[in-house]
Amino acid sequence: MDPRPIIAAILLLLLMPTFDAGAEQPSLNEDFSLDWTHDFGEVYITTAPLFVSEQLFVRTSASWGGSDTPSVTAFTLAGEPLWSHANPSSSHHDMAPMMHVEQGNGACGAWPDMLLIGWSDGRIEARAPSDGDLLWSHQTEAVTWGITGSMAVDEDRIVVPTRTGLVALCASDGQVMVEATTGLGWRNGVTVGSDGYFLGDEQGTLWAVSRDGGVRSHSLEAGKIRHAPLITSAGLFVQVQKDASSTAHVVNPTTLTSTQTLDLGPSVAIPLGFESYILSADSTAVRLFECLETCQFLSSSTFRSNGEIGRVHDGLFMLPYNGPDSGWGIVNVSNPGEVSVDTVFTGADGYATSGPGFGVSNGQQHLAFGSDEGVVYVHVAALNEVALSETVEEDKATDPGFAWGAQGVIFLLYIALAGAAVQMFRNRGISVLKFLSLYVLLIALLVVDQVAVQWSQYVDEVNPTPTEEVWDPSWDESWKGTQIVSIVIDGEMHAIGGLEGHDNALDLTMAACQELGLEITTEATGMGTYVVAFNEVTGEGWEYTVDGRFASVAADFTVTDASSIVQWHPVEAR
Amino acid sequence: MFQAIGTHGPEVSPTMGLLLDIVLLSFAFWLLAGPNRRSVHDVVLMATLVASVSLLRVVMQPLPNVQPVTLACLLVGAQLGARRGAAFAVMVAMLSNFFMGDGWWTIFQAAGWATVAVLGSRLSLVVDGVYNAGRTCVAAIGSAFLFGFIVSFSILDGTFGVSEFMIYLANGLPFDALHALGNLTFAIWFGAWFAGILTQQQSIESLEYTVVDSHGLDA
Repeated sequence: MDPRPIIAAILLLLLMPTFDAGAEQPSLNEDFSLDWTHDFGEVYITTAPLFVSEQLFVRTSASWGGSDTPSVTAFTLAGEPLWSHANPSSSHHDMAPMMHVEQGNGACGAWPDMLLIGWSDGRIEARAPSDGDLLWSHQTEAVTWGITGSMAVDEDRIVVPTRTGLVALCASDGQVMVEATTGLGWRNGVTVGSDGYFLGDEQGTLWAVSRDGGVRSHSLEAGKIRHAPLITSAGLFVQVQKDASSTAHVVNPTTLTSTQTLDLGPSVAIPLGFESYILSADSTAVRLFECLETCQFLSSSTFRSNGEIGRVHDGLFMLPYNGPDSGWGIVNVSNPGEVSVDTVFTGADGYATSGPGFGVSNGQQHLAFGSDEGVVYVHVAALNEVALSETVEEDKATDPGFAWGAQGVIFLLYIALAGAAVQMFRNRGISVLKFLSLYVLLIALLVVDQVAVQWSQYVDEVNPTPTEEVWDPSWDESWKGTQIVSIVIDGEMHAIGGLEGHDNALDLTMAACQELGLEITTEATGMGTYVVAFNEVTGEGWEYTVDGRFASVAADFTVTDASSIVQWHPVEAR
Repeated sequence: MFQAIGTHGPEVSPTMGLLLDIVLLSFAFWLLAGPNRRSVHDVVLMATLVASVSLLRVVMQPLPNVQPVTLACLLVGAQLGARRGAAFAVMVAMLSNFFMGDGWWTIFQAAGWATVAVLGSRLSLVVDGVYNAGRTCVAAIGSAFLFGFIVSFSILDGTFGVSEFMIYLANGLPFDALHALGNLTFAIWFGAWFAGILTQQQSIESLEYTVVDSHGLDA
């Protein structure tokens, strides 16, 4: 029997991963071309750029280790800066989405067009979109940070989730109309319902605040609610994020009790509701639910996104892949409820949690993307564009988002398989083996980082090393049972406790550095984010333990719980 | 002497680094020195091999653990004998680490590759001028794990217990596997060709036999 047909079939099977890799990049440039970019320096962009009429607003957040100041900047659609307002007293958590409010009037007065900005120092500002002039402001309480969630409009009220609760301000002058205290919140946007306002907190409690300030609450489960509850016909859709997974609760808005739960993956993104559907994402997948009388899971597609999801052109959705140089997902929801995700490269392709900005103006569609690199990339397309111009082809060649490395590897994979096929038909078994070995090696190089991380996590789990007693007598007794970080720099221990709500060692360490006033420098790699220096002290490298156990993976891959103790020390001190 | 304990073991001071280099170079010289007079061709070939394999290692640095040194040591050991194979290993480790970073770990890398070379000289990878591809491939895979194991000893600094060392070894397995896969690929692609180049060079042992035999004939 001639074995060649069988080998040919095997080769075709081996081609499948490369078909898939190729299919992941339908290229945003089929419709859009990169129009302009703006570099904000050492800052993050952690919330979606906002298109309003013929302007683009971009807000930045201070970066860990960076020195540039958080700001809000207005641009023309051609990329000319119009105005910029920096807030030097703000911090690393400026991720509250900006909100545009059109002019109007109500019982508390009239107001012009406004851009609403909530700052991490607790300040709420209403600014004129045209020139950035301050119209009014209001200071709320900041506990480590202030406003990090999305605001909402309720007739003549601006409803703002603060760190410690909620305020409803008169849109005309910023006077407080309602103020309520709830649990401490983080990125916990507020939703306006028929009977009042809903928001969650960092303890997994859902709060309802009536328009006259009455407060009700119900604990859904231990976890964190980090989005504005979504109103559906089945009830409120509320995600509770836990250490290694998440749960979506469907909540009766009257009793605040959970009527249904659905399983989600870890580190959930901010869900998006449209029609009767909910689009949710987490570290493992993008998931689609349909909520009618109850909410039903419809389909999912593998992806990793932990921030915002945005609606863009042609009824599509986009969300950033939260990993190094991994691009963005374009989500397509088909009629039967099938969700599919394709990956495109936009320029802002590193770690990111901000959604896309999308706007239509002057017969053009605009898309804006920001990331932790602090650069905004604006792409443009004609409203009904179907054909590619020569200019677009030129852009393709120079588009910084084009993944030369990935494309090169895919090209080599094809070469290896083609070589194997040619040699097979020449009956040269050794040569077939040569090309197949190259193919397998390339695949191994592509996956080794992730395999190594997964393997290390597995080794950690079966690690018989006993946990040491790590409590330091110099620490405050009130820190017991909370998240604690200690960092030994030049022989001096810097420690902070009482922290909460941090899912991994890196997040926890960054929060500690902010509290302690330490500068932290990190480096993103394919195997996670590594700490390079504290206060510019690099030494021979930095190691850390979690609850006394030596960590063997990057800090952002090490899960922490509510009472984790993370201790950093230079390797030379071991 | 030791400036610090790093992730590869103790970080050495410049003086200690120089001392280690001298020791390694002397070791290589001792391995190469012998009663037999080397031809210029021998010396040039060895120098070329060391330079080119070192260069390849440096150039391939972005690819984790994929480099041609291990297979080269295996085949140099097989074709030129254990002594020249070990000398080759030491010199490649020194030269490539001059560009990639020298330190305490160089000793362990040199020892690892030298062990691979000695192993190559004992595994009959080339018998009577005939290259055994299958055996070379198996040896290439095994030598990756052997090399990884030996180099891992550089981490021991007195603070590591046995269980911690085992965990350290376990964490490195994916990269050892990648090393093995790289070695296998090099062996399949270049093994026969590289062995052929070296065939023209007689091993120290065969040179000695030749000398003894010729003296016997003269007698």
